[in-house]
Amino acid sequence: MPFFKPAVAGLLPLFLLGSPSLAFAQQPVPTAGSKKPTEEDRKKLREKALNLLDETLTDTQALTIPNNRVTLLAEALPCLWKSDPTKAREVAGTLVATLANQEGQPPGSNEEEDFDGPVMNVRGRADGNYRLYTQTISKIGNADPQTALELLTSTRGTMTATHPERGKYLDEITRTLEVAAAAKNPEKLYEIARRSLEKSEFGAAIQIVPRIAERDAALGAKLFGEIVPKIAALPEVSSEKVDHFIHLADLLSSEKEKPTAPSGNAKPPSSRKVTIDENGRRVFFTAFAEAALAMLKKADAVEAQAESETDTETNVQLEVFVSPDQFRQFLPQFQKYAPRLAEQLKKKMSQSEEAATPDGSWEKDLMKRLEERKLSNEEMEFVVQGIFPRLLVEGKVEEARKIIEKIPDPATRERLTRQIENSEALKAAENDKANDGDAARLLEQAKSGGQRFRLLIALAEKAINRKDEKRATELLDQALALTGAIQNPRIQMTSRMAVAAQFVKFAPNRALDIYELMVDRFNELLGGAAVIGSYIGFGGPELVVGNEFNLSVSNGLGEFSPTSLIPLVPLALADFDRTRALIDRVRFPEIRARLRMEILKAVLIPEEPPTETPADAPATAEKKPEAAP
Amino acid sequence: MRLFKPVFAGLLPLFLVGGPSLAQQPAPTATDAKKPTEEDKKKLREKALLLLDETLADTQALTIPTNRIVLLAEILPCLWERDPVKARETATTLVTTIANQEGQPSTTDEDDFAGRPTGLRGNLDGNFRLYTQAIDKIGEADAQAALDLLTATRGRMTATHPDRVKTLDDLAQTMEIALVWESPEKLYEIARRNLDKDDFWNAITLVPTIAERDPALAGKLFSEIVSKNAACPEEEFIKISRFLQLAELLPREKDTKTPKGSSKPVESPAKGKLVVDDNQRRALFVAFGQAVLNLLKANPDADINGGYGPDVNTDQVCSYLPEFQKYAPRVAEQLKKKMSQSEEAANAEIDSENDLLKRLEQNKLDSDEMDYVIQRIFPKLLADGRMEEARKVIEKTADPAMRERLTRQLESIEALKTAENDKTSEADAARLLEQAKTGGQRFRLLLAFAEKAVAQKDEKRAAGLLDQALVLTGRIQNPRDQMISRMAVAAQFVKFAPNRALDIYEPMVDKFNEFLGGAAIIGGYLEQGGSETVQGNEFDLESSSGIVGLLPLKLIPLGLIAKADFDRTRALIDRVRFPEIRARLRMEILKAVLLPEEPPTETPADAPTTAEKKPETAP
Repeated sequence: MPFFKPAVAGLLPLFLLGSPSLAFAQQPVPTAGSKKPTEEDRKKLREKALNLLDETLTDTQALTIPNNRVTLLAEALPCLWKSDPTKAREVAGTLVATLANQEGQPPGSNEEEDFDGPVMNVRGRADGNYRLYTQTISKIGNADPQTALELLTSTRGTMTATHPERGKYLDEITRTLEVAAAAKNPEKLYEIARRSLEKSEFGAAIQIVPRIAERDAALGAKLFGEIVPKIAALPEVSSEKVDHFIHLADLLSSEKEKPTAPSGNAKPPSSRKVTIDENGRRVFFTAFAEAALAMLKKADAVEAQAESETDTETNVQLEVFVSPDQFRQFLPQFQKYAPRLAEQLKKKMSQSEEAATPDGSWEKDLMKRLEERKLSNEEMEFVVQGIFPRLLVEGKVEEARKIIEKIPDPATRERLTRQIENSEALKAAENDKANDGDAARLLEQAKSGGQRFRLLIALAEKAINRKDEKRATELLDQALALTGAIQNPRIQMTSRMAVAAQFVKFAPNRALDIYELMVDRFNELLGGAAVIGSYIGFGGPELVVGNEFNLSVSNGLGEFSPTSLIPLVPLALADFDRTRALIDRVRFPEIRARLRMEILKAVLIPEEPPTETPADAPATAEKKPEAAP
Repeated sequence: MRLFKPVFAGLLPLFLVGGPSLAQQPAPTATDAKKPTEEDKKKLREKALLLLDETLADTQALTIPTNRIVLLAEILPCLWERDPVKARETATTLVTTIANQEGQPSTTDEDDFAGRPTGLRGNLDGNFRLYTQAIDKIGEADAQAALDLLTATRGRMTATHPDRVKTLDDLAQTMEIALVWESPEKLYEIARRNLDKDDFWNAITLVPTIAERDPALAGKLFSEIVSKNAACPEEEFIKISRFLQLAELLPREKDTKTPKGSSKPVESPAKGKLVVDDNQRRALFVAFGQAVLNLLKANPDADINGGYGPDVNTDQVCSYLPEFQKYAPRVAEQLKKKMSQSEEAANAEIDSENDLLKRLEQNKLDSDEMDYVIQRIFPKLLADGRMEEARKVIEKTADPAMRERLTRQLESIEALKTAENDKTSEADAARLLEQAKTGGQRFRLLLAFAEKAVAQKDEKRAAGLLDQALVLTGRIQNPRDQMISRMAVAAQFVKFAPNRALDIYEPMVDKFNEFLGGAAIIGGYLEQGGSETVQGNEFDLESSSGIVGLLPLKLIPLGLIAKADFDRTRALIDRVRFPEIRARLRMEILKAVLLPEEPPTETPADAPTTAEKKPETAP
C-alpha cells in the first residue's frame, strides 16, 4: 500500500526553490591569479594527492553498502591508473569480475520486502548491477580503453546470458572503447567507422570523422564523403536524418580553408574540422537542404493533422523535434550551393515564424482586462510571472511600471515595485561608466539590506574584472557583514556562498574562510537528509541504509547539503591541505569520499575526461590520445 | 538558482512506497470493552475541555502567525461546544484579523538577498485560503455566525480581487443552506436562485435534500432543471454531464414497477433517491438522449466523454441503456453501436496481452515488453486467481533474481488466500505459518489469521497471533518498514484491546521526534509559496504537510484510542516534540470527544460542507 504517496504528492512543490544569488557560485570559477606553481610545488601536490587516494581507498572499503564500495572504487580508478597502472589494472579486473559474478544472483535474504507486501517494480533493482557494470567499464575506459575492452569482452557473456536485450548497448560501449584504443591510428578508426556505416550506425560513424581528420585530413574527408550519400538515401523524412546532416555540417571547416591533397600522406591539420572541395560541399548542402525542406513540410502536415484532431500530444512532439531555427545558420551555404531549395526553405521558415510569433492580441486583451480589474487568478499570475519579468529583461521598465499601476493588490504592487528598483540599481551598478561616486550613491540609496548586498556583489565582480582586488575585498567584506543579519538559514547560506564564489576568483583562502564556517551546517543538513532518507523508499534499494547514503540511488539526498556547490577544484589547487581538511570535516564518509574524488581528479588527472555513457556521447572516444596507454 | 530542484527531480520516483494494506483500513471501535457510563462520558468531556484550554494557550505561543490562525480555526467547533458566546467572540477576532491582513505587503528584506522570483500566487492566495477555511470551520459550528462574519468582511477580501466573488457566494450559500436545512421551501428558493444564474451544479445538489423533506417539491425542481438544461445553448458534453447527475438521483428503471394505468411507482425507491413519475422520467431521458444524439451526430467517432473528466463517460451513459430503450429508442440503437466498439477495443487489449504471453513463451520479448508483463500482466493474473498462467510467466522469466522474486509473490498470495479461507483449520494455519519462507510472509499470514480471530471474537487467539507478528517486526532494519509493520499490528489491537495498541504506539514517539527533527532541519531549506516550510524551529503547517506527511501519523486512530484511554493517548501526543504538530494531533482527540460526529471537511468547491451537516447542529 502506498502509504507515503499522498504525502509526497503534496511535498513536490516544496522543492521548487529559488535562490538566484547562488548562481554566482555555480559559474565556472577561474583559478586564482596568484603566483604560478613551480615543478616542485606540483610534485608535492601530487604526492599529497596520492596519499589521499590511498587513504580514500582504504576508507571506502569500510563502507557497509556494497554498491557504495563498487561505485567509489570505479570512480577512483582513473586516479589509480595515474599512480600505479599495474595495480589499477588488477583492481579493475577484480571489480568487473565481481560485478559479473553478482549478475543474476537471487536478491538474497531481503525478506523485509515481504513485510510491505508484493512490490512489482523490480526493474530498477534488476538493472542496478548492470548499471554499475557499464559505469565501471566506462570509468576504466577513461583511463585505459584497451583494458576496459578486454574486461568487457571477457565478461559480457555473463551480463547478456539472461538479458539478450543488453547486447546492443554493450556493442555501443565496445565500439566507444575501440575508438578510444585506436585514437592514434586513423586507418583503424576508419575501419571502425566503415563497420558502423555498414550497420547503418550513422551517428557513431559521424563521431569518428573529426578524430580521423585530426590525424589524416584526406581520410577524414573521404569518410565524410562516404557518409553523406548514405544519409541522403535514407527513405524516411525524420528529425534523426536532419540531425545527422546538422552534425556533419558542424564538422566542416570554413570555406576559406583549402582542401588537402587527396593523398594519405598529408600533414595532419591542427583542427579536427573536415575540409572538402567545392563539389563535395555542393553535394552535401544540396542533400541537407532537401532533407530540411522535407522535414519542414512534414512538420506542417503533422501540425495540420494534429489541429484537426486536437491532438495536443502530437503537437508537443513536433515542437520537440523540429524548429526552423535549426537551419537558419546554414542559410548562406544553402543559398550558395542549392539556391532554389534555399528560397523554398526561407519561405517555409518565414511562414513558420509568422505562425510562431503571437500577434499579441491575447496579451493586449489581458492588459485591457487588467485595467478593468477583470483578471482571474490565473491570468493575473500570467501577467505577474510571464509578462512583467519579460518586460524587465527587455528593459521596458516604463511598460512594467504601467502594469504595476494597474495591479489592484497592494502587496503584489509593492513587491513588483521593489523588483523594478532592484533591477534598475543593479543595471546602474553594472554600467561600465559608473564611477566610485555613483557606486557609493547607489549603495546609500539601497532600500533594503538585500538590495545593498546584491549591489555590493555586482560592484565587487566589476572590481575583480578590473583586477582591483583591494576594492573587491572591501566590497565583499561589506557584503559578508550584511549576511550576518539574515535570519533565514537558506538565504544566509546561499548569500555567503555568493560572496565566497567571488573570493575564489582572486583570494581562494578568503573563500575557504567562508566555506569552513559552513561545514557544521552542511553536516546538520546531511544528518536531516539521512533521517528523512530512511523513511523514503520505492520498493528498490533504500536511500539510506543504517546511517549510510546509498550512492547509487541517493545522490539526491546526499547532495541535499550544498557541498556539491563548493568549487573544490580551484580551492584544492590553491590550498590542498585546507581544502582537504574542509572535506574531512564532512560527517558522512561516503559523501566525503565523493568530494575527495573531485580534488583527486583535479590534481592527478590534469584534464577531466568526459564521463558520458555511449548513449549520449562516446566517453572514451573523447579522450585526448596521449591519455591512452 | 534553484538550489534543491535537481536533487529532488531524481528523488521523485523514490516516493512510490508500499506498505501493508491492513493498517489503512478504518479501525472499528472497540467492541468488547465495557460501554462507558454517563459518568465516564462526563469525566472524559471534562478532561477534553481542560486539554482544549491548554491547547488554545499553547497555540497562541507559536511564532508563525498562520499557524496560530490555522489551529485556532480548527479548534473553533470544539470551542463552540463549550461556550458558544466566547467562541463567537474568538471567531470574530479571527476573521477580522485575517481580513485586516488582506493586501498588506509581505515582502521582507531577506527576499532581496535571495532575489526572489515573482511567483507570488501562493502568498496572494494564502490569506484568502485561511479566510475561507476559517469561515468554513465556523460554519461547521454556527452557520449564522459564519454568514454574518462573511457578510461583514467579504468586501475587504474582494476589494482588489473581484475573481473571489464566486467562491464567497458559494460559501455564503453553503451557510444559508445550513440555516434553512429543515425548510424545503427555502431550500427550493435557493436552488431556483442558482438555476436562474445557470448554476446547475448547486441546484442539482439540493434536489435530494429537498426530496427528503418534500418529495413533490423536489420532483418539481427536478423537472425545472431538466427543461432548463435541455433548452440551454451550452455544448452537449456539458449538458450530458448534468443529465447524468440528474439521472443518478433517480432509482434505476429495473428497481421500479409502475402498474398499468398509474403514473406512480409502487415500490419505494432506494434511500436517498428521488421519486418522479413516468412523464418526468421520460422528459429526462428524451432530453438526455437528444444531447447524446447531437454529440454523436457532430462527431460519430467521438468518445462521449470527449476528454472532459470522469463525470461524463461512455460507460456511464451506456449504463442507462434500459431507460433509453424505453424512452428514446433511437439513442439506444446508437449506444449499442458504441458499446460494441468499446467491446472490440477491450477485446483488442486482451488480444495484445495474449499475444505478449505467447511471445513470452517463445522468448521473443524485449525488455520493455518483459517489464509490461511483470508489472501489469503478472499482478493481474495473481489478482484474477489465474495462478497457473502466472506460474508460466515465472517459468519463462530468464533472469533468476526476477524469477525468485515473482515466485515469492505468488507463494505469498497463495498462502494469504488460504489463510483468509473460512474453512482453514488451526492445523492448516500452523502448517502455513511453518511453511512461510520469510519473516515477512509469516508476518502477513499472522495478521490475516489475527484479523479472522478478531472477527470471530476470539481475542485470546488474536492477541497471541499479533504478539508473534510484533516479535517478527523486531527483525526489520528499515525504520519506515518497521514502523508501518508495527502500526499494522496495532491497527488490529485497536479493535479489541486499545491499550495494547498504545503499548505499540508509545515507543514510536521517539522515532517520530527523530524524523521530525530531521524534517525540521531540511524544512528550513525548503520553500513553498514564498515561505520556508520550517521557520525558526517551527513547521509552517500550511506548507509542511508534504514533508510531515512522510510520517504515517494519520494511521494512528487517535480518536478511538483516546475514547478508550484519554490520559494515555494525551500523554502519547504530549511527547511529540514540536508544539504545532502536537496541537494538530490534540485536535483529533478533542474533536473525537467533544464533537458528536466528525464534521465533513470538504471545501465548498468539492461539496458544500455545512450543507451536509446534520440539521441538529444548526443553531
